[in-house]
Amino acid sequence: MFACLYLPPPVKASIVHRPSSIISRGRSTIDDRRLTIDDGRSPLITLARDFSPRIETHGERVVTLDISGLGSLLGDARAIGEQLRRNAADSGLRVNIAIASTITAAILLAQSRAGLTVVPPGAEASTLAPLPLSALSQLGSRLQVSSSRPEARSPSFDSLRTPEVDQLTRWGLRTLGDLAALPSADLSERLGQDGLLWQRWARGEDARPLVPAAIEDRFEESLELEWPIDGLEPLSFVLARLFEPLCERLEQRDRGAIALHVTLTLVTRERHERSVQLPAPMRDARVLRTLALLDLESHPPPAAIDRVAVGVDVTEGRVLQFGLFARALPAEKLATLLARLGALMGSDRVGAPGLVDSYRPGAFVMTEFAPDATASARPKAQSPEPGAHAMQVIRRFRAPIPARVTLEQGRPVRVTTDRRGFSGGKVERCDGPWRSSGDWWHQKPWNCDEWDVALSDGVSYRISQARGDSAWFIDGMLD
Amino acid sequence: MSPAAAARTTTVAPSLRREELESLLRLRKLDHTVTAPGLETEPSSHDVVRMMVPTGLSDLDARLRGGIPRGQLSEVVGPRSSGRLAMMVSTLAGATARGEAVALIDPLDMFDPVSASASRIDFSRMLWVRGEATSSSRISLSCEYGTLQKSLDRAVKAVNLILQAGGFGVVVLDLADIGPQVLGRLPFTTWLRLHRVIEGSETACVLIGSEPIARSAGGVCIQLAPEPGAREHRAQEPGAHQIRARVVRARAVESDRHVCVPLSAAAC
Repeated sequence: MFACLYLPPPVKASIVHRPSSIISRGRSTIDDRRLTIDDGRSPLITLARDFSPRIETHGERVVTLDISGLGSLLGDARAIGEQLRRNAADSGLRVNIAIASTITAAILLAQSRAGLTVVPPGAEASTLAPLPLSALSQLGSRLQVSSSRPEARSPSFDSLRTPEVDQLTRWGLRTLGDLAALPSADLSERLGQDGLLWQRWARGEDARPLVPAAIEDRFEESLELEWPIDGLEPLSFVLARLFEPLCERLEQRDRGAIALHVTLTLVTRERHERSVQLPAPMRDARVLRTLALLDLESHPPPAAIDRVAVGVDVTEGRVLQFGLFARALPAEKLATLLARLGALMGSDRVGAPGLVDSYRPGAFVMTEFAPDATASARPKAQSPEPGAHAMQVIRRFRAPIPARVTLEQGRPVRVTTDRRGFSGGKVERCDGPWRSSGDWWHQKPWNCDEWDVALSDGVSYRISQARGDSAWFIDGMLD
Repeated sequence: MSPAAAARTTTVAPSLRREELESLLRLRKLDHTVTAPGLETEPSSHDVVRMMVPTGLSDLDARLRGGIPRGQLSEVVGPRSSGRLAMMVSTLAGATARGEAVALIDPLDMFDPVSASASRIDFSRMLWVRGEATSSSRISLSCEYGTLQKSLDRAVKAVNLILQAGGFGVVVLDLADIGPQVLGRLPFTTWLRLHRVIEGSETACVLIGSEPIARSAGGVCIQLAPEPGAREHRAQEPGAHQIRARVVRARAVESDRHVCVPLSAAAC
């Protein structure tokens, strides 16, 4: 047996002669607000969960629940329905309740009849027969499985749309009983599989079983402190105490944390909130505690702490298959390492270098360092072959050093600078110039000539001169 | 005692002493100093891949019997423009091509990804830790000197963290432009500590400097210098010259010979 709870939408307050309705315009109605409560869970779902663990939601206002087995506790179907109605009234909900042997019949009746409707087994078709054809218009979307897993989704159920209702009306059909009485073969010839599906619904037959909604856990822990704590070291013990049960629950549910939220209530009644995005789903209590502490080390709370609350956003557990010979860097260890390095050097100074699509000298970007542990080595065609020579690399000065350059026939012959550590001298070899320009459409364009010069002191430099400017700079050393 | 029994005694007793010695060394974690392969037998190609990180320069790898040893602290030293960074980028490129993660700790923020990309290094597998961009030429100012010292301290801590985390094939600490007066302030136990951290691991840690500082017993020290007479060579091939690589200190490697490695011009 299935019960369906339907919360009718509020009546639109469009009667202009009632002053209270004018005031209520633009606000959410009481019933709308009752759809969600403070913890984000719908009271309709809470009501259904009080009676059965096997519930399925069909949008915000319709919930079906499997009430098989409740008879020994509450009595027959009508007694169960009465109990549902009393509990709904206690919660402040005015719901329509229908109890039937099939989900389809329960939904159609709950949407069409106010109060409590109980259908004896086998009487679904006769009970649905007087309902108008338009009752099927919302059923298709209601019966879509609201699951995030693609493999759990049911085939699409097309609702009976207005043009099709009009077509059936032209055929002389008015009620679900009329549709149910048609010969199936003739209906299939004219309307295809959709027609057969609508006829099954009209007879109160289910096209699929109930798909129970998973119980969504809220992965949060909090602790009220007897005495305020002022410092990260005592806080680490508190965080460890909070994260350990949290990670046990994650383990039990096969979930991994992808974002970490720490909320500290301070003695000043302020809330210090921090969030850390994790590079991969993880559920190691020590890692989560370390990451939270490192983040708080960089952003410490301004006052002593009265209450500590931690929560995580979760996703499905991570399954990784490492190679037998690859040196794997576990995501938890990598996240901790990057957090520690970020706290030590600055988060913007740790990452992987990235090239940009520009000829601007020294242009690069910092990207997130996230090597794919499961990826294999690069194809041999793209990998560097062992050879006999190396390629020179520039040690670039992020702030170029001003230099004095003597030219002969347009080529540098002597380079000197006032900076200590650079002796300068006669140019023994010079290559260039390499001209580049760009970003003339931006605020900071560049247009320069670059030279590689080997000086008499044995050091090779890359020097540059902005075109149209006499100033020379040492951009870097070749090494 | 018969002559045969005497011969048996003389052959068995030394081997027992050696086993005892090896077990004692192993107990003290000093077994790499004597019992490392390569002393007695030529390592197989599998051992080479497992125990060495090739530099990608065939002549130098042949001289090093495979490359830079893993689990040891090695050094690449030489004057400016002697190809120290070029050699290390070649090593990093080879490691990333094999699917290994590598790290470069750059205390003075001088690494240039554009010119390094010519070596086909896979940047997605390279962790780059950048320090403050302080020019070593300005250390005459006391504030710059303090900043440099802080950058160096942070860089050493960063290396320690990376080595402790493990999972990296090669970790390079670039100290090339940090003066000896700043490096001298680091306690010598710094390098011993780093060596202890990576001992037995599969990570090769390499320091780039102007002169040897770590002097690790198990690692190699490759000294680079411009090849004498390279000026004529450069005149023939603009933008290219040769460097001389010499292994000055490593077990089981001859240190009195050098190899010449051509150095190509930097990418623009």
